[in-house]
Amino acid sequence: MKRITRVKVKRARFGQVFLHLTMAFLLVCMVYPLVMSVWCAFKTTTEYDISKFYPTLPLKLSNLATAFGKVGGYTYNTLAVAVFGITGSLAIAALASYAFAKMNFPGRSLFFTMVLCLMMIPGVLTLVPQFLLYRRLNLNDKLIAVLLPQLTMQPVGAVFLLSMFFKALPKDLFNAAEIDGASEFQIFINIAVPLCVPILITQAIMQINGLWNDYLWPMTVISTNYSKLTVSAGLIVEFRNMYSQNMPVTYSGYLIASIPLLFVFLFGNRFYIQGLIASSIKM
Amino acid sequence: MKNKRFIFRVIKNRYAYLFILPLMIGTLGFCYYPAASGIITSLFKWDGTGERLFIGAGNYAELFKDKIFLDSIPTMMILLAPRLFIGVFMPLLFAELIFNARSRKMQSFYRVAVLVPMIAPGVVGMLIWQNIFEPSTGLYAKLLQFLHILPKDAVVDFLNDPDWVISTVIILGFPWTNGTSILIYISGLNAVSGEVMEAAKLDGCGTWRRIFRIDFPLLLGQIRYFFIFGLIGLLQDYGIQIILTNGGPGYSTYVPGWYMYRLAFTSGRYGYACAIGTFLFGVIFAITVVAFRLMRYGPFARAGEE
Repeated sequence: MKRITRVKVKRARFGQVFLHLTMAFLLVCMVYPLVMSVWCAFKTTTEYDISKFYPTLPLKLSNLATAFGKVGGYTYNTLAVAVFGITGSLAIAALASYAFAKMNFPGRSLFFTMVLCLMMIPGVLTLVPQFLLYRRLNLNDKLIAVLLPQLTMQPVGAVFLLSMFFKALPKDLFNAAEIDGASEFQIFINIAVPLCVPILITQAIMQINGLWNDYLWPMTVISTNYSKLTVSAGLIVEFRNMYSQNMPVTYSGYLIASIPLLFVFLFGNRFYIQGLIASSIKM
Repeated sequence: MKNKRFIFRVIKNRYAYLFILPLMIGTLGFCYYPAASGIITSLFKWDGTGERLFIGAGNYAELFKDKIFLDSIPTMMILLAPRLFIGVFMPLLFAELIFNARSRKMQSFYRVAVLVPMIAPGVVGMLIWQNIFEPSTGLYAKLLQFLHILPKDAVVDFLNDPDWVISTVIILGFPWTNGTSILIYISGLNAVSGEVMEAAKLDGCGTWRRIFRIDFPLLLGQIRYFFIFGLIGLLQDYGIQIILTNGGPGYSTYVPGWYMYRLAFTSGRYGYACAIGTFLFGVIFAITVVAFRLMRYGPFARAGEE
């Protein structure tokens, strides 16, 4: 009897070792390209040619300065869009979700279904006509062309999450305030919004991630005035061709482009994980 | 009487209309309007500046005789199938590995570690891979030489060689981690009640058997979700073409979405491009409706719950 358990334990332990080894292998494969680009960012071009697969000293910090000249501009554009776009879109989404969840107005389900059905319209259908629309409004090649979709398309996803959340809040909370004579807007600002701050943060993180990663729309709508490009689009359209002979500077640019996301990740991953878990329970 | 009550309800809730106004302006003006105008534009011959010429279904007739378009469909399938499979099952593999790790400490370490690639923009990831695929000096070439798949002195331009480009594009991103999907699977696994797991263990059910008999059936919801949204996403994806291959070499990586992009923004054939967009919309719409109906998922299910 004892021997059987020992064999079992041994086999289980072997399984665990195998599991950790597999995981370690996969994680190394995943991280190696990223880490490689970090040390390559600090090499001279000659060093890069001989030793790109492992780190070397000394660090050539001037690469960062060279790259910052261009990538700093993209980062600034993206941050500007992010600040206005995310505040605006969350405000729009929160207001509308509150109305959908807590106010019983005629036409509510019609309007709500209209918003839900946007899920059925794929980007591939709207890309070209959207470009034509922005061009007709004379918005192309301006930063506002990247900002406007943040305010018009991004709230849709947030409306799902928020209206579900508001609906789950107890009615008494709102009735009490109403009896005390608070207006709808006061109730919204003073009761509803403070309760949904964690969800708003999750939403903001997702949105800033999306904005940072989006290249298709910015590079489409900003086709000549490259100084207005956002990070991802700028890297593809302009930056990688400027320093194609100087890979270390290119890698420095990639590094700079990632730093703001690093901060978002450090401060936000807790909220992000919570938000994911909350929304995935419903699957 | 009924009318009066209706008006009363409108007046009582007048703020609601104000609250949803900004959202509805954005939705109608910048989402529904472009969608409708895309479908309408597909009926015209238009270069973007001159006169619009109504040609009815002319663009579609041309589309189904266009060799570039017809060839781009099988290319899309070849690229789509493995990537869809990877997108659904690779995160599941990661999730099972992490979930089965016995040490709690390692588990939470892995959970954060798989999110690490999120700190680099996706584009940066792709551009790094471009360097990995560099002929003869890149990491991939070195690795293939080391494994004797390639002879020592071979120079293969992986992204510009028609024989290599498809496999290269599929390998891109190895080990295809997607932190978000992994976490969703793990939270699904955690939701499987501990009692079920315990009972299975007491009945002598091994790890593998548990994975196939208990975990998979209970994760079916998540698997379906990633399958459907992966399919919809991949049908309209041409990121690799934009960033790395330009559809080339020749037409070897042309997919319909990329062809549309080229037609509109390189050739200025907006009407024809919109016809491709509308066609893809039709395909995606059909898939979505069928899938949502079958799974009682998405807008239909949610609208039904209201």
